[in-house]
Formats: sequence, C-alpha cells, structure tokens
Amino acid sequence: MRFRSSLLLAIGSLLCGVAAHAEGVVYGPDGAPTVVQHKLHTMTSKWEIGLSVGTVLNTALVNSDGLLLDVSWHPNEWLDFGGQLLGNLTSLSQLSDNVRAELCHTTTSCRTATPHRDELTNNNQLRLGAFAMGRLAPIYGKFNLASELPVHFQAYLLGGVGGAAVRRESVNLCAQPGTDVCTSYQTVDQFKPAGEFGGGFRFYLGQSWSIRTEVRAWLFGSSYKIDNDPTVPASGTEHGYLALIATVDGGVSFLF
Amino acid sequence: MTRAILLLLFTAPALAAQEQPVVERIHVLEKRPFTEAGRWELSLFGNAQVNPKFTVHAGLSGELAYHLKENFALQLSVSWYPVSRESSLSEELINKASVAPETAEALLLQGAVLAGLELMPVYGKLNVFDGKILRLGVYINAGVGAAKTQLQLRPSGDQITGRSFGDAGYRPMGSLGVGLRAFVSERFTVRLELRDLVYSGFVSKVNGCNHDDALKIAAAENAKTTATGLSGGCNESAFGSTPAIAAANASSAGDLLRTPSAEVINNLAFQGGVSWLF
Repeated sequence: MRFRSSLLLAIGSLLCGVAAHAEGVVYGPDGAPTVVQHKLHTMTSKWEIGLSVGTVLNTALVNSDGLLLDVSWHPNEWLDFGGQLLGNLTSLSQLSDNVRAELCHTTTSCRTATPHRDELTNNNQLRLGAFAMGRLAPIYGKFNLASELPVHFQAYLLGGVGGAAVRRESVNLCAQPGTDVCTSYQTVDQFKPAGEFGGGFRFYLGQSWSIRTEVRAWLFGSSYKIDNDPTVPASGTEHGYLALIATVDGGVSFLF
Repeated sequence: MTRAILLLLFTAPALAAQEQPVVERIHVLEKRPFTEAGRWELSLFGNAQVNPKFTVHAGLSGELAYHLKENFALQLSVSWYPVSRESSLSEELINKASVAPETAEALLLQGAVLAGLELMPVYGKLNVFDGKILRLGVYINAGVGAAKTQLQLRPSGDQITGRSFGDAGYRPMGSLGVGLRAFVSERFTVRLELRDLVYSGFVSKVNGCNHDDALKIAAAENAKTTATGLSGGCNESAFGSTPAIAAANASSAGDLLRTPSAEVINNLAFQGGVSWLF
C-alpha cells in the first residue's frame, strides 16, 4: 500500500511536470519567467494594397520623383508576392543644364572646333514600369517610443522583374546636324526588361494600416555613344551597360 | 478514492492550463536580462558613402564607447578611407564635357577622428523567422573632431600620372548619426548606422602650396628645375617624383586653386559592423 502511494505521487508529479513543460515557460537570468507573445499583427492570408512616393538617390544628371502602387497576397507570415506599377515625373537636373551651358560658348560654328565626344552615362529617365514582385520578411519586432508607445515593425527584402519605359536624353550630344549652337539633344524612348531589388521596413499602425519605407535599385540595360561627331548626330558607336537607379520611397499600405 | 482525488488535484490545474486559449492579453513590465551601463564597447565598422555625387568614399571605422547609463554613452571613433576618390561622374564630366565640380565639392576624406555622445532612447525586440528573440536598441549620436583631407589632382585615365592626389590639410568635422543595435548575446552586438559627416570644403592650399606656388612649381618642373620663392610650408616634392608628374600635378593644383570656393560638405555614410561589450 505504501508503495502504491509513492507511485501515484511520482506519476502525479511527472504529469505536473509534463504539463508545466507544455506551457513552454522559459526562465530568464533573474529567475522570472519570460513571456513570449504571439505577433500582434498577423499577415497570413491577407491582401495588401500599397501606395508610395519616391525619389532618386544616385542620378546626379536626372531628377525623378514618382508614385509606386502595389498589390500583393500574403500566403504566410513572411512572404508576399504580387504586382507593382511605377510612374515617375523625370527631367534633366540643374547639373545637366550647367554641363550643356559649357558645351558651346559662341553663337556660330562652335561645334566645328569641338573634337568628337563620348556621351555621358547615367542619363536614364525611368518613367513607367510594371513589375511582378515578391517580399521576404524574416524579421518581426517591437520597440517602445519614449518607453510608452509600442511600435511593431517588420523588416523585409524585396525583388521583382518586369518592364519599364525609359527615356534617354543625352546631356552632351546634339540632335541637330550642323555647326550652330545646339538647342535640341539626342533623345531615345525605349521599353526595356527591368528588375528591382531592395529592402524596407513596415511600421504597423493597426491591424489594417501600416507605414512603409523602402530603398531599392532598379536595373535595366542602357547604352551610351562613343566617338560622336558633334556636327553629325547619327555618328558614333553605341556601347551597352547595366544601369542602376537607386530610389527611396515611403508610403502607406492597407491589409484586408 | 482519496488517492484518485489527490491525483486529480495535482494534474487538473496543469491540464486546465493546457486547454486555455493560447493568446492572452497581459501587461508585462519585463526586467532587461542584462544592462550596458558601466561597460565598455569596442566596435568595428565597414563604411561607404551613400550620396556619391562627385566623391566616393569607403573604409573602416573603429569606435570605443563607455556606457555611463543604459541609454547614454561616450564615444571615440577613428575612421580610415582607403577608397577616397572622385566619382565616375566627376571623371566623366572632365573627360567628356571638359567641366569639373568646384574644388570644395570634390574635397576628399582620408581619415577622421571624432569624439561624441550616444543616446539610445528606443528599446525593443525582434525575431528572425519566428525564432530566437533578440534585443534591439535605436540610438542617435553626435560628435565633433577633425578630418584629414585630400584633393584628386588627375583622373584615373591620365597617361602621365594616373589617378593622383594632393594633401589638402586638416578640417574640423561634426557628425550626426542614427543607428540600430541588435544584441546577439550579452557581449556581442550587430550595428547598422547612418552618419552625416559635416565638414568645411574650403580649399586654399594643396601640399601646403597656394595658387601662385603651384604655378611656379609647374613652370619650374617643366623646365626640369626647382621652383624658388615658394611660400613657407609649400612642399614641392609632394607633387611627384619626376618632373613630368610633378608638373602635371602642380598644373592641376593651380587650376583647382584658381577660383576660391567654399562649401559645407555633407558626406552621408552608411556603416555596418559588430561590437563587443566588456
């Protein structure tokens, strides 16, 4: 009988232990239990619509500001994929205007004295684009502003492929044959395959709304002319290169 | 029967606990598992300029900090930029359009020493793929110090000199930064930071020589002689080891110094690295 009491007590203690283990309590260095909260903002099986405004970071010869509209589906907590539409207002920068002002100083025949020119690179104006894109969000976190306001956030990487309408207006190659001061420059409008990659942060405002900020690089093939005779626009040889336009954008998104 | 009741009493709370909803709303004031207060922190960063219009910088930084409080530290940092040159845009402008940025805008950093303060008002946590939870701190810092500067005299495609530089002296420097510190363990952290390095771009001398000195050196080296009547501190030999190289570099220095220009330069640098708390 005494044996059976001890056995029952042991089995009871074991069950208690197993049950306690099932609770998943983890004890911190100070002996207090650490509570692991579940995510406050879940993404699984939700659609997302986002709208951002952006500007370029690395194109000194070109100004570009625009909008980015995206729609995506979140199959789980850390992945979403969808489509994007990009629209930018673009123009040549003040630096480009300064360069042009230095090209010809006299009113007539200034181009005859100018040796053959190579075209300046990185004059691409990314105007419109449509992309299939995906985001991988491995990091979810929370911080407290002024120890009182908890802010939940997500950090993610993004990538995509698609097509883009790109205008290339030469800064230093004239479109007009002849020797007079140039008033029109060589311009090409093309639709090109393009890609993007980058990363960003999402700050949750609630279950539906969040603020996003992203840095990304747009990649596409471009070209520049070498050995262009300033008086003969059609002269010169095209050389290809991979253009990279870096942008930063910020906006809001709605989850439903 | 008594034993059965006893067993039930032992196991019932545990079983009940398992059946409760998984998510509970609780308000927890959690004590931090460890503190930075009273500890030193040694950091090593790789850095790169993120607004490379006319200049390109990349290098290494070391930082020693003492955390007076959990969210307040004193810092001393040293930076070295082995990649410090004019951007491809600057060289393109010279080679293809015969224009160059103003001298002040093209001033390059060779190294810098900064002393300052760090404030970490934002504290949080993050996890990666729902795995390990890491502590997180967002901080701002500010510092003052000095920078050693140089000017690029000739572009990389120059047949005589290749890419060449001239010493432009020391400049006072200030910095403002914002960063993120993730505590991988009690001693080891990963840091990401964006710093705005602010310094004066006024240039009046290259290798200690003013505009007139540079012209005299260029003329003398072209004649394969040594310049005379130079101002004090002007180092003719710093322009090159051969007359052709020295003449080319001195000529470029003369061009750069011809029109005085001044600019407050904002060099935005992203730096990422690791640190060790002890």
